[in-house]
Amino acid sequence: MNDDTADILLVGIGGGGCRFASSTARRFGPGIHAVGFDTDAATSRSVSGMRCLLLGASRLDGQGTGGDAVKGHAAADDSAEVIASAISSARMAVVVAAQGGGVGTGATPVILSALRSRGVPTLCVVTLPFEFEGHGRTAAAIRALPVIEESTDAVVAMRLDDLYGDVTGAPLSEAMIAAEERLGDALSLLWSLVLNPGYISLGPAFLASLLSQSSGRCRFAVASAEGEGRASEAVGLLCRSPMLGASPSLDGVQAVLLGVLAGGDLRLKELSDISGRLRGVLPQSCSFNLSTVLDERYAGSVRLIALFFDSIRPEAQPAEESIEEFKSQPTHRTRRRSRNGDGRLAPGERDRFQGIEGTFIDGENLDIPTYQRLRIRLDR
Amino acid sequence: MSTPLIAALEIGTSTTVCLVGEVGAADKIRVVGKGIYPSTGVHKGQIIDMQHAKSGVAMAVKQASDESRVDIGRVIMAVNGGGVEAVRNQAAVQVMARNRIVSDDDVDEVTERVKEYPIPDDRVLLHTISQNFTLDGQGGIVKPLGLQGAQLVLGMLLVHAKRGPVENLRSVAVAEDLDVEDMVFGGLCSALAVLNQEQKKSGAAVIDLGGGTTSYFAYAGNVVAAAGSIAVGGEHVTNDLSLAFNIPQARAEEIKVAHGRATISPDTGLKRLAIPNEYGKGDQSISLKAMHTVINARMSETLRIVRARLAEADVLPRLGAGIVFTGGGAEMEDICSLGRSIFGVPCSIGVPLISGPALEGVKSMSSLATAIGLLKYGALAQRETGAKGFFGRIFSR
Repeated sequence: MNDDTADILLVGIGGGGCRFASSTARRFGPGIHAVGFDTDAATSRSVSGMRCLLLGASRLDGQGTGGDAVKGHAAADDSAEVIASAISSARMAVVVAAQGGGVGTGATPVILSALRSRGVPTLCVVTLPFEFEGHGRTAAAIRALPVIEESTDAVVAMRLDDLYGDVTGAPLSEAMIAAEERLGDALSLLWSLVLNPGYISLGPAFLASLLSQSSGRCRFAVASAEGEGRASEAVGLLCRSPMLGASPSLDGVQAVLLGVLAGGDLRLKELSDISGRLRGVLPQSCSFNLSTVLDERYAGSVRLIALFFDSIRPEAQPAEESIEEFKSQPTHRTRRRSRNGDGRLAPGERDRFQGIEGTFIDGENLDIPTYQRLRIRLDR
Repeated sequence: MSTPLIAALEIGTSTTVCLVGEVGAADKIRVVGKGIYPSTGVHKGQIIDMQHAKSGVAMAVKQASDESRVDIGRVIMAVNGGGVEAVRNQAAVQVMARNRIVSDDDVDEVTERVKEYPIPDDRVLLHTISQNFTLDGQGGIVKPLGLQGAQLVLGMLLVHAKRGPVENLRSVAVAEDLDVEDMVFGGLCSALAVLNQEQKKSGAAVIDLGGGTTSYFAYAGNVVAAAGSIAVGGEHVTNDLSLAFNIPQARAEEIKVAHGRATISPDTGLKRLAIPNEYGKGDQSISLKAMHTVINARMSETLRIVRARLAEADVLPRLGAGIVFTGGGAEMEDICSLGRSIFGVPCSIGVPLISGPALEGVKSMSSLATAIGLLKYGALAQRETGAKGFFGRIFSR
């Protein structure tokens, strides 16, 4: 493990987000740099493995928001200094929040904006309410998504119903814990991938670069298999993962970051098998990026983690950089990832064509604004 | 005797339109019911959310049904999305009779053969449109029956689209308990709605500037010579404006409709357009010239793609009657001027010549061109059912 962990920040927002972040931190173990934000003082007592900071203390006096996103937004606005101090060392951030409630819905855009104003690339993982929670909460979550999309580089939205997968028959308390652990497990694999590089390493700079080029939604899935045929079985499970949502088609994926985590028993043929099978279900034009982690904790099994980017700006693919290069970047970059030099929004941001089959003519993606492709300078 | 009724349904990217028409003498249609409802769940002419699309259909059909007092159970539907393309095929047969007089059997055989074109499995044939016959090298023959010759050749335009999107459109209607009588290419419908015989004879192309797609349908040499659609439409213009000026899509759509222009006018100068407060942001203003530049870039590109398609089909030099624009995009200020500069032929806005109580007060007849064309298609189909008249030959399935 390198000493770069403080630069990659895990942020949990709201009660749900803090529990997910806490689960991730516990599973990854020492070395992860995680911080949580909530208005409810009780949250800090219920999580472990991370700091939990209070938002809007003067306004809410350590109480919850009662599911009111406006209060959550105001609490985060009140606490700009607390947030700025907590994220000051971050070079990249993964933000986790449950949508539909007060703090997760209201404060997340504020914290993402604070990260962005410092030039920090962000991946935001949000969960959408269970169906049984009712239409109101789901509607609030759906309304919040476009605002979050505007504030982050890439957003993964997962329905809790999908995250639960096969534990729906379990008692509610167990099922909740299972869901938290499932997401925590997945995120801890992402940390392992980025911070414990193996022979084939893409490193944190690569992920940051990929995030910077993303322009909207991405999807995230994990799978593992053991025994004979584990490589192909893991790819099959990955492609069918409930984490990919109700429409798991990978037809429109423009870039993928695949992590293979295994023990020293991983064979080259297995790696080739994994790569070949996954490439087989992805579009030919998809940028395929493979990274491995060899750790004896995973001996006997193959674990896969994949980030599928559905929209990548048509610039040069991210170049592989070393961790050292990543560390050498200034702390306070003025870069704003999704704005071009003249302040315009990059393609894909709030883009109505995200997730829809692109219109390609003569190799050109016509969904990207014409003025941008032709580099027409607008005198706004 | 009751007046025949036809119901047309167009699930467009922006709006879902249902029209009910009465077919009178000489196939004259009177529109007696109209339902227009904003579409959701449709992008680029394709269904992306069945439930949302269904609700649009339900509302539009109900409106049309209430206004016409007709219980709508069967519809003819338009197909715009799914990458409609046309390919020209040709087949030849030897005239069978000893006296070399062309018979019905010769015409049937060459017609069947020319349809034997290998369309990929993932695409569905929408129309087989006969062009001209050639007899022993003499081209331009419309009716070869009774003429003498040894070899009969027929050219045909086969119009096809992606199977999935077409079936999805049908499924939405079926889910609303509607029988789908036929599915017709929207570009063909628009041409039926706005072109007269003289224009067809002289050569003309209709370009339907829809919300999610741009369709074209061209006549040259008195036959249908090119057809197709590209998945770029008014929603792309809106999206470009939203991204260029960092404003929500709904606001971008508003300013496009109210202040959009297809060309960049020198008169615009330094004029600015005030954009009201959004989401707590302060009021902002945008340069009108920059806005027109964004629109011009997109519309020019789209029309140039159509121009390339028409040139490829050797249609462009034969458009004596020029280009006719229809669809919502036809209402963009200065679209004809832009069209003239790109195609180099006269351009005009196509307005469907049709009447009826349900159309009173309709501001944008151009945007109803496809649905009105569907009614005309239906009327022609009713007349030609079971017959092999002009329509049966030209637009048979």
